[in-house]
Amino acid sequence: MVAREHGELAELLAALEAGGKGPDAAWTVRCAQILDMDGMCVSTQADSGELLWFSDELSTRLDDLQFTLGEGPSYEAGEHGSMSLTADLRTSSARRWTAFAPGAEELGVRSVFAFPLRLGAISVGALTGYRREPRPLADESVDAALSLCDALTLHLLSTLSPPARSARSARSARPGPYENESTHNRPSGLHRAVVHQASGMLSVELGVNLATALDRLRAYAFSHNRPIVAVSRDVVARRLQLTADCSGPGPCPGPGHSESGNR
Amino acid sequence: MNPERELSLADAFVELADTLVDEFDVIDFLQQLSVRCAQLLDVSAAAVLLAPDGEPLRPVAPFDPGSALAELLDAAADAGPALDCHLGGAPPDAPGAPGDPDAPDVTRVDLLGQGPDRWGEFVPLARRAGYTWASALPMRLRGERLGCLLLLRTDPAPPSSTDVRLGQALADAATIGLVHEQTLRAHRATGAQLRGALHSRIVIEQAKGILAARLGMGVDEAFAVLRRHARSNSRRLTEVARQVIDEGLVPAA
Repeated sequence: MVAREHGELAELLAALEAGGKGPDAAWTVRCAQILDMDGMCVSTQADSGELLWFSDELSTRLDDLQFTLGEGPSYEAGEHGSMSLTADLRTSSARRWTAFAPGAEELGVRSVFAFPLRLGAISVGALTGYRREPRPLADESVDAALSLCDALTLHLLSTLSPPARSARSARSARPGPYENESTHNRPSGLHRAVVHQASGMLSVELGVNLATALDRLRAYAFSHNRPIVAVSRDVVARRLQLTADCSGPGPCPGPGHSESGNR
Repeated sequence: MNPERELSLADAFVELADTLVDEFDVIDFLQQLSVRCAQLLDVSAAAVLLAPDGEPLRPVAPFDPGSALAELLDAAADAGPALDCHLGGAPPDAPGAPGDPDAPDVTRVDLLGQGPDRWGEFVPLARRAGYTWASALPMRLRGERLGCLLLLRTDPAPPSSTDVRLGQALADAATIGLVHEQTLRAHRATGAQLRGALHSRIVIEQAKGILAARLGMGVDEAFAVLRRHARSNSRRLTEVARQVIDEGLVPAA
């Protein structure tokens, strides 16, 4: 990837950071250009099937087709959490989508590339792009797409609930010679092992899925003005119990939110 | 060097070069590297921190660091010898870092001789955990920076230069193994693979939490249960973690 594209990728990533303006139609158009695709869209997990952002009409029709048929690369990416890269829909492996492959070709699409939006086992949705010509995606485009997917996932998860402000984020590492500033923006604490351990514990204790459990953690941290990492440590050490009904901002009342033994 | 250690070392090198197996899993591979280093070198702990292209450094192995080391590794990803080493090799002004002509890229730090403010939380946390020396060894191949290997000691004496060089050799073998594995598979960019490893790590952490809650135990014990189940069934750790999350598997404690 040339320097100019690196700069553009950094701009796209910056829009996804906490306080950034978030994706919109123009964002998806530039995203498709950088990824060397003819069009792309971002959709949530297949069963709720919501198309969030798209660069062009054909992307929406491709998404509609998958939603109608209940099969296709975006489904695969969302369900299995793995990339689904199809350089040519006419190859035999693409024919596993018995209805989608010919349907997409009828729309004028020859390559489809779907990337999961995920955080460990939490699946949020997929980023899907297409080409009219059958051609494999270059490694640099794959890397760029994965960077965008990580940032999109955090953006989507953080827009579900008020952002948890991590005290650690203020003290980010000093920038290295080859990194741009955005790579050191760590607003969420979501790269910490203990946060994922706490989500797992909470999901069992509250009887909710991992995404909801993470959401509860963030909501609690936000409303108590504490770093999510500190709250997670308390949960894992069983110093703190959360109840299922604590969501929005403001203090979480009720006996379930005992905070005995906090540092 | 005693003969037994020599044999174990030879085994370790063979293991780290062997990424041609059918079911190669990056995260298991890096776990193996950290375990081997801790066993073979005269160190108290060994950890791998990875940074996919343009991403921040993050601890990936070992999976079971214990709470003090886990906290230290999180801090090490933000500031400290590991980050310095990853970004550009040993800083010339690092006090207590005798230059080793054979390992010029290694950052070797006397933790007791550091000002507490030098690297944010790293030095205070390391001292609290009882560590005296930290050595950060780069994982690099032809200019590509994958991350680094962090070795920690609790002994007052600095790590021997033999150990540092052996550690670097193990790190190099692992780096070559990783890069080799990538070139063998079409459509698998470096970033994709390392990113996959980070997600696998998250899946394992999520599964640890779920098991800890289901079995009423700590996350470290839960991890032991997870690992035992994976070993006795010859399954990959990430696979078993997935089963815990998706299928509600609860292995016997």
